[in-house]
Amino acid sequence: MATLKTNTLTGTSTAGSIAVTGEGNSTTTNLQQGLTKCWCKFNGEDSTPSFSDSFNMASITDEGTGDYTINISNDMANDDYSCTHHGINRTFLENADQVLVGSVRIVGRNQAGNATDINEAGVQICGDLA
Amino acid sequence: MSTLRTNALEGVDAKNSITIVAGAGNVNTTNVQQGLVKQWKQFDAGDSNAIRDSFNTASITDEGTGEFMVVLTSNMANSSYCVHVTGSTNMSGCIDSDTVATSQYGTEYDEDSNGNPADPNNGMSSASGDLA
Repeated sequence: MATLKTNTLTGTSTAGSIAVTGEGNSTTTNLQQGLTKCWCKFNGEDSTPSFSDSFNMASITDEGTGDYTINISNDMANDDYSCTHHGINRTFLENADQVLVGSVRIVGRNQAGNATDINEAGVQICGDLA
Repeated sequence: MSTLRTNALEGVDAKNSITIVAGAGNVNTTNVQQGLVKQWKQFDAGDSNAIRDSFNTASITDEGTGEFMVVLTSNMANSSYCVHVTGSTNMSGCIDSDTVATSQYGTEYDEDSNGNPADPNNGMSSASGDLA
């Protein structure tokens, strides 16, 4: 086994692009594109929602029942990223029409489609960092 | 600070496996290849299924109202990968489990109010698993 020690990885040809051999040894994937840029888990039932754990997420703004704005620490490059999430106990989350480089607004819903606070919500963002 | 500059990474013992120290205690390791998301996209079904931005996504095929096939550029090794799907405003999203294959997966979007299929204006999804 070989161990390489470094604090930072940078592409040679393009600083933000490093290829990585895939699991099947037949294709490569891209390190930067494959990294999740932001994630969090939070309790939306708290009077002041906060993250139980997170990465590159700054804060949550409570916009009303089941309605949250998740604020990003280091902005995305554009608003064309993929933001996916999960609820719990037959609830789910959806994106509102406010997908921005520095934040994303999401709404929790129950099976009937009504807005509801979610006590264990998870959010993941993939895309290009600024 | 040290900076490693390279265009490509591969494991020494196995090309397809690189470990990286990632635990909070600086002891545990995780696997770079396994930890990378292999595909993601955002698309607009209201704009001829235009893909706004994506990674490892070749195309989106319209399979009917609220039903879209996501075709991958580089295939997955098997159909046992994990997909997350999110719908637009007032719309839920999920996978069509009968369509998950190494080269593509189906997605479905429904309106919250009545459960009827509907086309999302910002359909998002991502996939994690083993590349071929």
